[in-house]
Amino acid sequence: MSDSAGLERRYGRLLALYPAAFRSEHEQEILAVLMAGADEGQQRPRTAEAANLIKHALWISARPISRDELRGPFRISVLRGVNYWPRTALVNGAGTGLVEIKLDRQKWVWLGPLRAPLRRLIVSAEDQSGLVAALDPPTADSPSPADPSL
Amino acid sequence: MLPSMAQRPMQEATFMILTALAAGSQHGYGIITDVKAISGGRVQLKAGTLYAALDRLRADKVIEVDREEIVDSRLRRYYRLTPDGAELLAAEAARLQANAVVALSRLKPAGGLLT
Repeated sequence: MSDSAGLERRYGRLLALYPAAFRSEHEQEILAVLMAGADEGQQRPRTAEAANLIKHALWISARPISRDELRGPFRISVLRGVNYWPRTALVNGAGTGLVEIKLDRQKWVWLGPLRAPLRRLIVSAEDQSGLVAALDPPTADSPSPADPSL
Repeated sequence: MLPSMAQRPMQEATFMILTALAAGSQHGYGIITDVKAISGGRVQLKAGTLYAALDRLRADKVIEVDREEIVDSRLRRYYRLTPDGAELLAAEAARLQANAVVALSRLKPAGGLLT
């Protein structure tokens, strides 16, 4: 593994998506595992490995939100499901910064406290899905129908 | 005790990680290779999944850090089962075994799906 600096730097960028507390505890050992599993001469993180890191970074970073909280001040009007990664559904609440993550179980989260790179990544995924336009927050002039799933 | 573990069935990844540690302490990459071996190659843990699980299991006092080593200037942290963790794994294994015994016994009799 003589030429592994580039790969390690790229894995490091992915690990920067995790919260600081998790990183200070686990970053070095995760890097060791990733590098131990790398092929000779591998330069870039494998897609599945990268997606897995992003998924868990999101899962660990996000603050869970109760169903009651969802019904309250946020008044989500539109929910759309998008599959960004296998077995991970992100459902966006209109302009609220809320997402729903399904990993091994369902969890509603608030995007606000997420680290900036992760937030950018999700916004970019929304852009690509074309959902942003459909997810404008409701205005007083155009009250939106109640979401039947809430 | 074990507040987040008691509520729902154990995920297979968690079961396999605890099973790997039941034989003795192991570091992260050791757990990945061991789980792959004991599952006949079927369960291939990724680093993100493994460390999310290890972090949660440690917080729940199911596992603990056994020791740390530096190998090739890289940190190796070895984990082991706690007594609570061993108990949890034993209970889950017994539950799975009981389910399997019932399923097999119902498939076996004449007229069943297995001949």
